[in-house]
Amino acid sequence: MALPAENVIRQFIVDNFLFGQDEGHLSTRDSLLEKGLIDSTGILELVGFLQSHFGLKIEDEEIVPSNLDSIEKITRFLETKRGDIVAQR
Amino acid sequence: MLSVDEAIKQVVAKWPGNLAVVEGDLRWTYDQLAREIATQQERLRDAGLEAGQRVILWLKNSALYISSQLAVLGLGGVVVPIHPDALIEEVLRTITHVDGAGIVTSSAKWKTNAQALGGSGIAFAMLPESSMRFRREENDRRAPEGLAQILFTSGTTGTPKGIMLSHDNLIVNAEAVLKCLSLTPSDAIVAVLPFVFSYGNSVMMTHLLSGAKIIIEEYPLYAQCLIESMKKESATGFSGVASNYALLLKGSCFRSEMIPSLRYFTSAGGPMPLPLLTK
Repeated sequence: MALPAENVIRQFIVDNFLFGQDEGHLSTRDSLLEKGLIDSTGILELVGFLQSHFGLKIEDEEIVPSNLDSIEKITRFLETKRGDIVAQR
Repeated sequence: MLSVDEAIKQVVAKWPGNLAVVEGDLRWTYDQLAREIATQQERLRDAGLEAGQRVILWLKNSALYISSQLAVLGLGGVVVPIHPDALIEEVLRTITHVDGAGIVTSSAKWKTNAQALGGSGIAFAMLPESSMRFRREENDRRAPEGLAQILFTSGTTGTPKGIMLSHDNLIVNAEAVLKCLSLTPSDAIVAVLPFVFSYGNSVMMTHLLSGAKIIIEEYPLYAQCLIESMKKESATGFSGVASNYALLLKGSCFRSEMIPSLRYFTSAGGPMPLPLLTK
């Protein structure tokens, strides 16, 4: 069974921006920018990962903090994107 | 040669009504910036700051960062900026290393680290709304005259090293860049680079000494937010490292919606890959 999206996102962030060491400190609502976890290259890596793992096309205008700056925001954004895709089919 | 604070006073006298710093709803003219610097200086004096003492600046890019830096320099103090994402251990190490007399930081950072900072040997901590004083062992170690900043290297090649920059260093650098880019009081730039880096520091100093406008964008790493700010404030320049350009070109509609006011781009801090440059 596939892992829930939130777990996949958390794992990616922990592996890539926390060097695999979460220790349970990162909450789903923590701002990735304020926590100093992500820089300009990190944002591009995150977008690349979301596109390839979830098979989505993320538009340029969707790369904004309200969609990507916490695990919770990313999860919600993905749910909306997937809903849109289903509705279009 | 003029000191940084003397040079800023000249700018204020020439263009008092020009916008100096924009941060969200905050819009400081040069006249207002001068008043903010004076207020910060009064608070620093009350906290006991003396000429030649080192003051740690642990703040993210903000209007407060700019006014605090200029206030310390105007009192003959030495500014030691620390990256806003630095861990407390690094801050404490720097305080010891430079014999820091005080720290200017945010209320949030103070709340989390009050105990460690209070016992670090500093004599004062200045927050936006309040100040604290601590017992400090008396010493007469003063920086050499004319020293303005100690900027730390990233530590890529070993332990970070503190680079001592004098007022003359800062003025000469600013004048050279200012001349090269032909900066004028009608220029405007969104601060993308952290002011704690020498490149970001130079962007700040050159634009202030030109009477130009500095825009603080809360999310400079998000190209869409950056472009919105650049459009709204009619930015004339963009300064970034290679990854800022990569982000601007990949994560936004930058190419299709060029900003007509833009007239110059600068890049430093590392090589720009040719494919990125070509784009």
